[in-house]
Amino acid sequence: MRTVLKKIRNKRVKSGSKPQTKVFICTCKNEIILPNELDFGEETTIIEDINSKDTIEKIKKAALNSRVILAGPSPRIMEKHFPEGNIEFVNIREHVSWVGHKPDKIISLISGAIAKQKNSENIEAKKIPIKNKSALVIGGGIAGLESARHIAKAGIKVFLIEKEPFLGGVVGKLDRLYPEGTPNSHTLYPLINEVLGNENIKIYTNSEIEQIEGGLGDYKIIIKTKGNIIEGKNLRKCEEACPISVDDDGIERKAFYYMPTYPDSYCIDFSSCTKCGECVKICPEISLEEKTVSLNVGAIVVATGLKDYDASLIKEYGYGKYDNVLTKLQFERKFSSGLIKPESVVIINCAGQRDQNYLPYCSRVCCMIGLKEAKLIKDVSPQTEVYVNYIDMRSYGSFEELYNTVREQYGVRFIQGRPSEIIKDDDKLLVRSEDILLGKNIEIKTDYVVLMTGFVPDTGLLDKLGIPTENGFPTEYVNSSRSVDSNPKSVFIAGAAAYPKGVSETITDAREAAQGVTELLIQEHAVFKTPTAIINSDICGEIDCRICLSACPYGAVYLKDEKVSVNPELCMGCGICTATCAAGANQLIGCEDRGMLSQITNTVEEGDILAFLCKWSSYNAADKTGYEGLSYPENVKIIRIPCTGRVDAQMILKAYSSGAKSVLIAGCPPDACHYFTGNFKARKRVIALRELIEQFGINPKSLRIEWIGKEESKRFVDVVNELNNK
Amino acid sequence: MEQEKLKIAICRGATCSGCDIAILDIHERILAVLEKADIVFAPTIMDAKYEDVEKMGENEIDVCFYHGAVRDSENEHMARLMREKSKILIAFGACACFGGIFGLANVTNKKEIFKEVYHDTASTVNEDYVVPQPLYTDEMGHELSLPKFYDDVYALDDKVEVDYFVPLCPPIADQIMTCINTIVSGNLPPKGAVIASERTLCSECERVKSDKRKITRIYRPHEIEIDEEKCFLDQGLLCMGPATRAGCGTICIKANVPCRGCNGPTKEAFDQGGNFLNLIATIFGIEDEELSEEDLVKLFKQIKDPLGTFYRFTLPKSTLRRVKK
Repeated sequence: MRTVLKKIRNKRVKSGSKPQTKVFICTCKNEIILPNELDFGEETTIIEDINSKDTIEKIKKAALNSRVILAGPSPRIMEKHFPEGNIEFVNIREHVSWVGHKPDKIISLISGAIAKQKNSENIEAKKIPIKNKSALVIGGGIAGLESARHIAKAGIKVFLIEKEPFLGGVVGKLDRLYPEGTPNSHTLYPLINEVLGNENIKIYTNSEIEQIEGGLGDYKIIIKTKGNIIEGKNLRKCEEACPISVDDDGIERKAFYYMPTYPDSYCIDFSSCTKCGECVKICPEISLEEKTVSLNVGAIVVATGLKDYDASLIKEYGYGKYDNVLTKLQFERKFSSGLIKPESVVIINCAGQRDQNYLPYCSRVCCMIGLKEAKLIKDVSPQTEVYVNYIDMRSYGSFEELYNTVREQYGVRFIQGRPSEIIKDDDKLLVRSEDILLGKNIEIKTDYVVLMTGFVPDTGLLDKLGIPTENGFPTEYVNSSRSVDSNPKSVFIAGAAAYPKGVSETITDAREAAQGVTELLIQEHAVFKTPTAIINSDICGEIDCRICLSACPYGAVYLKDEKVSVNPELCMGCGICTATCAAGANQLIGCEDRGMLSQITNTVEEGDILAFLCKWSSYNAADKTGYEGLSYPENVKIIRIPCTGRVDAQMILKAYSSGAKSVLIAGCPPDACHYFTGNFKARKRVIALRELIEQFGINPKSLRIEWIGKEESKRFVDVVNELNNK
Repeated sequence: MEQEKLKIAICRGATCSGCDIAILDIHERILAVLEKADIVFAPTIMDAKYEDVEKMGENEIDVCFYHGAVRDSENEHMARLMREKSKILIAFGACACFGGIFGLANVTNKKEIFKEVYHDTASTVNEDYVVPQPLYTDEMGHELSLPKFYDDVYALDDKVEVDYFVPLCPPIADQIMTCINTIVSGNLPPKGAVIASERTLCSECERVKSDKRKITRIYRPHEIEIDEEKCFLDQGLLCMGPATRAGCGTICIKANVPCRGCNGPTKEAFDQGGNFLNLIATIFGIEDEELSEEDLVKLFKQIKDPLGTFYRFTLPKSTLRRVKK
């Protein structure tokens, strides 16, 4: 029983001095008309031009040791001047002056801001030291090599690890690259030479990640590495003696083998090696043992690339059942090595792709690979019949030219339709499909079928790093194009590990990742200015309800020694968890319950419409009404919030109890929440709350949630007008 | 020298008297209490007249336990009187702290209540609509008075200053003893303290919680066989633990009954019912994005009577205080 008389420890009241509040009001060169009486009981300064350097410095200085309220233009514009400091912005230009509202509205807006700030903690920038000035690049394919090269060139130590015996990745196994059909050596060999020639790069082949610990700037990595055989005689004899045969994507080889990339030596494929010891008998220097190496790095590049989707899962195409149904890589390797000389080939695009039964997505590059294979066949053997079955040709951008060339000059036959089945016909195959353009069923007799199966990521590493994934690819890359958001884990994703990519895109991408790593590691500290949530350990003890853990879109709320904690490096400051906590234990700094509630109490007057607008979208739409000379009713008061997901029941109920006749919550369009699901969570809360307020005798229709994008100023005006007229 | 005994009063407002019984529930420990203290006023357990208290001097009573809400002028009169006569006034039980079950009357008002009680009920015949009046003079000229019935129910601190709060419905014996011992020791907590834990009830609860909190369907306790080991929320039962202050020792939960929130919210939460509904809304539903607005409306219809369920003990202390008149 823990029932104790416990002293109330009021953490909020800072020991010693309570900072003073200073109010600055900008008239924007007399554009904003101020009310006749301005008495907030606080030191108030009227300024004329917020863009003057002197004024900015003066306010910055004031913000060092007092709470500053800055009323003037929209915070969207003002924030850039004040990246740090404890400043509460009040938008009296866009939301009062420009929409033609009476100057008196300024008083309630500023009073609200003062009250909020008095009940808020200071937002302090998080500084995380970069302890290790070195980087780990995982994956020795094109992406990894290119990233490593660029990071090392900046003078940073790089550990490059590759799980296969040889560098080169998927590209190393190819014959040629699209669109021109350039041999892979053009790209790969100079790249490997550059990497080998840089002393800052330490390469571990035949190595895998065993353990990852730590976080931004300070990772401890343990890798498992197996000996590279550089020294030793009679290695060719070892290969002959090796009893293990491996089908390496179409090419037969031993587990003891050679590839002309790096290392320039025979190596053992430990994934197939049975450790029989036949090679050791011939060459006693060979070590079959593995050792662990521990590395300390500050940043990680995940360049683990992709692999083919397992074609044998697509039952109707008989892969694994018929020897002459091949994947794209197997076909390319067999054909270019001269192992097969087909008279006819059917290439099936989108095999198992864009199909809910198999791979739901499009792998982006297969159409081009199909064209490349078709061209390869025709280049080598012009008399071979080549058919391409496709659903849609997605030869985007300049690849259209490749498509036209292959179709018109090379005489490859393109059939629109997804083959329904492949059956054996003597020693040939019969491909049955519909030709959609002709509107009839067709059958093609062929020597070989090449399946353009999709790509899947080649690793489960992202999960290990705590990066959310969708179909194995990192969610952030799948869903959005944002780039300014900080990289909280100092994990950068290069190349096809992010999503399927061609070689040129991979190289661009790898450089971008390298730039991110370099930029981070040359600093002493990584600085994050996003306010974070904190857990009040007086209220939330061990384990507790843990509901905020499920609410966080970033996995930033986690259990540390059985205690709910927030990882400040991962927290993006959305406030979804704060809104979820029913005990007030979880508070988003700068946007705490107490602060928000006092802002609402002091802002709202009888009959107002209180609008909580998301700073990423709807707030900007409201700003835009001002630029456009639109207006909306005077009684609409706007409170800026990081995300609609921050708005909780307390805030909505407080608005009503303070006299609001309607409450609007508006944020980003459905699938476009900056924090993934904040808007959906807000919608659920609003719908649940409508039932409740109806019981309280409040019209449930007066509580609205809307998706208002940043350009949708007219919609904003329509919505508030509608609410006002009810 | 023998220490002077403490003078204790137990005063009742709008109450079910469960709080009185709760005090008697300390059983033989009451003997130890009586060694240290005299009970000077406790209408439920001993003969007492209001005049006795009125005759007392200011601060003559050391501690007054006031239980029950403030529902009529008599309750308010006694609250003010006890405040005047007591050094320490304790809001005792959920009703005094938050309005409690009586506070649920804030969904209606005096007129409606009178109409229901004195007219509409099936067993009542009241054609002339005779309802209690605060003042009545009979034919002989005698004046009879009744307390004035209020429109709203109030918590004790809505009317008078309160020193300490002892919530729960009713307070439990251990908590009462802690409270009395602390006062006897003279080592008093700061004014306004709630004599319970600062934490949420989940911190005391030993049930196993799932890692990913998600509710797909809401059940009422009679609808399913309740697992005694698993968190109620994981079973789709509305347990108010996450929105409720700890300190009761999870007695209901140990009896396989979900928490109803009688210990009130924590110090940083300002609307127990709204907060709990908000929390449920966050984890309710399969995947946020997959449900249409209509689906969600249907889903939330599974929560019956959110006001009555989630503000069961705290309506007068909630943000909106009462249903709009």
